[in-house]
Amino acid sequence: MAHIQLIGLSKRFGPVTAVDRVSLEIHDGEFFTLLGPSGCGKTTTLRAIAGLETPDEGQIVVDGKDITYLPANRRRVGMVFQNYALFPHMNVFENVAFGLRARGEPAQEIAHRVRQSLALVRLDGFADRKPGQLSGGQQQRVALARALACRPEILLLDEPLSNLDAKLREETRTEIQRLQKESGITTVYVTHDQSEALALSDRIAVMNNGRLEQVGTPAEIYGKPATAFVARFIGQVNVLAGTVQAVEGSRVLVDLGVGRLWAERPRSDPPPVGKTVQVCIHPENLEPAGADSSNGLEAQVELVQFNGVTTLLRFRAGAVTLEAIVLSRSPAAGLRRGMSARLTVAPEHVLILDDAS
Amino acid sequence: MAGLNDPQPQAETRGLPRPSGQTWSKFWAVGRTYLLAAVVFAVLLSCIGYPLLQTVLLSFTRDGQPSLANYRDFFSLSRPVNLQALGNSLYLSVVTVVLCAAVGAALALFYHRYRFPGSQLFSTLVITPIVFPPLVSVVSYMWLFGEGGVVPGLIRDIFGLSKPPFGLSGFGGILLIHVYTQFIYFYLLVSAALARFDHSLEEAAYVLGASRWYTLRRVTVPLLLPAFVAASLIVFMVSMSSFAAPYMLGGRFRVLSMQIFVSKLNGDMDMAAAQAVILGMICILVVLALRAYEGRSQYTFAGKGLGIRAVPITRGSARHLAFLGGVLLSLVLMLPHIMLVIIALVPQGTWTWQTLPPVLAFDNFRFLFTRPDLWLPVRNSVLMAGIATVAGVIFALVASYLLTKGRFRGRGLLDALVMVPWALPGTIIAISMIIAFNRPLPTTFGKVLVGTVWMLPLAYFINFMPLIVRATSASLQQLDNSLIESALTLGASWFTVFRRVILPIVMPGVLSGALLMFVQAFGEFTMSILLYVVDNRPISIGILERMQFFELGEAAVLGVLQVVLMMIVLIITRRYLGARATQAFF
Repeated sequence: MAHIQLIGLSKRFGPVTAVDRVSLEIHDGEFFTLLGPSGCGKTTTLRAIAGLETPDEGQIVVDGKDITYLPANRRRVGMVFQNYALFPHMNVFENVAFGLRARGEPAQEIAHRVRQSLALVRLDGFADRKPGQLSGGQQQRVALARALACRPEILLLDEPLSNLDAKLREETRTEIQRLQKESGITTVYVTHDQSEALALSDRIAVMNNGRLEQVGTPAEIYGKPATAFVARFIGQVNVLAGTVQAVEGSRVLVDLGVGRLWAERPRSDPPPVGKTVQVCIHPENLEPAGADSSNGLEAQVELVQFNGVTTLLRFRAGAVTLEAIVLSRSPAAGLRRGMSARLTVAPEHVLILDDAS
Repeated sequence: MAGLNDPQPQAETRGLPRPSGQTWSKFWAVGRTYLLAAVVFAVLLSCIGYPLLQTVLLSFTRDGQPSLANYRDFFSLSRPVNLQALGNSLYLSVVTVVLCAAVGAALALFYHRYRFPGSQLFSTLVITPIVFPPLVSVVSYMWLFGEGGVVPGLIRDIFGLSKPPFGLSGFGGILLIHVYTQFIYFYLLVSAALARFDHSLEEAAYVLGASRWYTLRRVTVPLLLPAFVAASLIVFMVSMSSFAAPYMLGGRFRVLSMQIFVSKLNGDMDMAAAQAVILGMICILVVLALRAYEGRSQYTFAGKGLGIRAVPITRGSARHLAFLGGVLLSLVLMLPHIMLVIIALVPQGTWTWQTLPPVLAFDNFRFLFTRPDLWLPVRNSVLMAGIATVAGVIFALVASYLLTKGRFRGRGLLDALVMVPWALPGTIIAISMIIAFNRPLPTTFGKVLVGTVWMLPLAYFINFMPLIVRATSASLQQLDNSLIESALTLGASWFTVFRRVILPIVMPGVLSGALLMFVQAFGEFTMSILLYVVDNRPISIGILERMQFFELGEAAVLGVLQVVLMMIVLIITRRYLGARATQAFF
């Protein structure tokens, strides 16, 4: 159980600033994800929490105690590494027992806790195997059991699923979620896979170039991305450039060059008239031939792609390309290449993005 | 709500008071690496940097006065002894490279290309020359081909000549021994390149319409070239540093490494320093060229390299011919070993005028346990090589850790400094130690080291430490950082991490490096002859002494001991390191 605060954390490697003044709070028992492309600083942040990197600036505070320079072996964290980092010269039992032995627990207690941890990850009966004799998924679970055996206050997971094949990834993902909810341990999870992040997390921090782009629940991050980076990173969205023409209350009229749309800015005050802005529209919110025709654009079908439950439609309006996703059984799925349609969208689904940081 | 989700919250100005003891923790977290690096640098600078610096300084003095006289004399055209020696060294090295390339590459191609009964065994036996310490191989060759040697004697008898037709000495003698001991570099490097070589590249060239000649010129040769260049540079360097062969056989054919020895004997240390600087510069230049070249032209073959397929020889007569060739070649390569064993089995005084020995017995081996003049050198070498190796292991563990896992400024410099002794001939290391340690120094606890038994173990440490650093670094490189890190996050102390994670994983590498260092130090000759004192005569000096007393059998026994030890070490290290062991032997 732990509450983690990162305060103005920075880490440079030579000329590269890997983490740039990151401040966050991670609540007790939360499943918190650091999400971003490779090189965005998410792993460095995680390693700083583990005590494997010494920050150049800032503080790491756990339960009110500053642990910025506390050596890794004196923090009560469990970490699962991307490549699992199982000790190749020890069998499964010895691997899981390693941390307990290092802490000098009595032998009986060690045996008990190792059995317990292996049962937790459903690997009873594998104690005598060497890591080399296990499949990728099994190695992954040993790594998890090893991290949990010491009953850490914080569980750190560094891309734990990236070395598994697609099917196993789904299974293990559910498994990790179950373990985390059962144990209630504060968990920090690093991934570059947005679907993983959305499915698992209580909250997500999206990082880019060492900085935080946005922190929020999966629904907020997905539904109301703050920046173009977050919008593009999280999903397949339409990001369009335009100019503010009018402001009415919280609603903003944006001229996109090929038509005008009413938009909203969920997080802060509307921008002034005349300002150049970017707007984001999720493809599932674009309705070809929708009922409410007041807020929309005329466009031509360029491509129809049948994907089972849904169908992707790509439209062109002047120089602008727009993608819409509709249910395959809806009438809009019957549109064909070359046909014209009016794409409508509710104003609250046209999101004005913050300027790039 | 909005505040919490802001990308860069106000928190930067917040912050908690730091608990006491944080300054020390921070220093330890950041400074640990630098502390270790400082220790390693201190050892390197006092053992290698300082002696070399003193040597360079001394080379610019004559009788205590700053002067260029040494270099003027060196390059003097009126007394061109030194220039001639330099020329001889260069000439000898170039010819050695050419001959070694021809022999080594031909053998590598032959054994990789064709498969016939016994070809596997024969290709392994090619490496037999590496289990020969330099002095022992020279001695064996003298017994075989020298004046009064067995082979010229046999030829004389068979053809009824009045005197032996030839006797190994001078340039030709040195060259033969160089080729015998050094063609291996070409054989191994070219073999490795051939094994990596992806035959489908040649096939791709043919499919693209290239002729055989064009493919050879544009595909095959460029891909094998790095192996040739690397082997050439190594052989050149080893030949330049060679000492045992010129010392035993050179006669009036003087080379640069011998000149250093002669200057030292004459007490002309100023000149010895200048000669050492010139020889050292050449060796360092070659190593720099090697490094630059290796950095530039490492080809990684995409996909799984198929290697050049070995073609079975099917025609009966060709098979027999190839088999016969393999047997003959292996015999030629093992002839010196066989000779050494035979001499070791000849009791003193039984072999006088005969071409072949009339009596063989184990008398000489018994002396090993009864005669102090035989077992003392063995004991001394075991002790001194042991001390050097233990120091080497400790030093290598720390240095390799810094080299592979450390993040600190100056790592490149550390890497270079560690490898300097590998590049320098033993003569230079010995001479620079004599120059530096002939007065009390703080680094030698205020003692004069010259003339004490400590010079040799220190020299062995300096010269062979790179072997073990390289072996240890190689296995540390394979040790994933995350293993260390996960052990730390599991709460293990640094000592536990070292004992339970790092050591078990790098042990094979460390052990192999240690064994290699031990055998090299055990049979070392060049530095030994320059630095030994009465109380620590090592085994190579023991061999020389026995030869001077014409106790050839006793000398051979000491040689057999070294060869057997090297064979055991080669077998053990091959188990741990695989084929890399053979290359690590140099």
